[in-house]
Amino acid sequence: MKNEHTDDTFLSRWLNNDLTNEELVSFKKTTKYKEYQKIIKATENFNAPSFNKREVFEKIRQKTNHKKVKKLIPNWMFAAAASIALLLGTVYYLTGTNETYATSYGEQMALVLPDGSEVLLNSKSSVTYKKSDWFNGNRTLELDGEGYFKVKKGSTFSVHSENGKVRVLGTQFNVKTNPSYYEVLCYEGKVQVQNKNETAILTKGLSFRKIDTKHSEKGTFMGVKPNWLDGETSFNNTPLKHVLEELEKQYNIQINTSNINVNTLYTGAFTNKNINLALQTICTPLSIQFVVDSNKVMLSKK
Amino acid sequence: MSEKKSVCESSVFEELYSEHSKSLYNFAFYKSGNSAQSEDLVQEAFIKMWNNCAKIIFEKAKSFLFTVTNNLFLNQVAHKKVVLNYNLIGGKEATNESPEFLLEEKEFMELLQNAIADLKEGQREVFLLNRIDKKTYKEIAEMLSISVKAVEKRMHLALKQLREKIGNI
Repeated sequence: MKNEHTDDTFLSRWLNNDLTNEELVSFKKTTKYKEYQKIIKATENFNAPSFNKREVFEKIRQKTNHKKVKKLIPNWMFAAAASIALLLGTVYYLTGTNETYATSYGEQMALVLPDGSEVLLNSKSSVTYKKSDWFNGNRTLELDGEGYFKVKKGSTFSVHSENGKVRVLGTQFNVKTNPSYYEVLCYEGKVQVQNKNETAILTKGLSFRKIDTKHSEKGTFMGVKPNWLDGETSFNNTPLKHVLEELEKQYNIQINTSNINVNTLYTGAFTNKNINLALQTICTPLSIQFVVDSNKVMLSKK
Repeated sequence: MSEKKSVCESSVFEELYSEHSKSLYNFAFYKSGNSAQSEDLVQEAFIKMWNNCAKIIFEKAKSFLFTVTNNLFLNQVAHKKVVLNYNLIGGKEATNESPEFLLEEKEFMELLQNAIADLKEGQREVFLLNRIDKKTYKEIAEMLSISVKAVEKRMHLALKQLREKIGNI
């Protein structure tokens, strides 16, 4: 009892009805109990001045402008930004900048397309594609000349040319396209060749060829990659005309063929490194003479 | 999961205002004893909350308000005597009390009033928040960011001091 309210939270516990019965009984016996009770009872009648809730709120409102949540970037801005982006995107898509890579006489070029696929370009060839198409998953490019493609797996990969188009999913193939010559060789996987009204499916080791207006032919070939990658250009029963065209491309020369039959078929390969050797390998078997004068070559029968 | 309430939302802000403005005002008044100053404190605290709304989660809004009011008050030097309004005990319809009794009671109320005003600020706010605003010790502890034990000690001391001042009349 002597400690009744020297315990530093005793009165708090009393007010909270947290005293034990014993504590309460002994507390009630003290004279102080009545005084405490009187104070507590009297305190009940106090109150804080009234608070003008509405008025203060109005003041807060005015100072915060807070009827409307002010966003740093209003919603319509996002919409506007999206529309502009869409518009620009569409314009870009429609006009899209074209990427063009071209090789000159005797040159070769290796390039990596946006999807990681590789193209090796033979001499006097070019590929053109729209970057925007590729980012949209549309793997399409245009080829003029000859190219060897190593395609990464993915969406359809198309090679367009004036002679037709080749569609694949992921494979390696060679396309050679000139105004009068179209040849596709499949080195791996499966490719679909579409040439005018014809469609052909090629698997590994199969080739498709169309020369001039003749019927297209399918053939087979050996090898795991085009010979031209190793600095040789090879032909299989190809009209001499096309062989010589190819030679012109490799060496930047003009060949006069007026005195020979350019439709003779030629099977063989010529090197891309030495013009004399190349001319010999073509001309000797066909009994043709050649005279080189700077960048002009005159051919004639022996 | 109930969706999170954002303090930046007007409706949430209003909800917080209608729920806490009065006790915030009382809290400020028990400290300052000045009703105009208290109104300003409430106003400032809510404006501060609005300006920082993105950083305050709904559950912490209440303690933010009290902490800010407390800090704002400490920054203001002016400090008036806390004068509370009161109703006379049994005043209402029970008029069968003797005039002597009523006079005595009035005197007592004034004494108590002065004793409360003389309490240390920390004790006074705890005592009045508990007795007038009926806040539990736990609620007060949260408002003041102190422990429940500290609230109980302040409460005990406040009451003890009040009795010592007026008990021996």
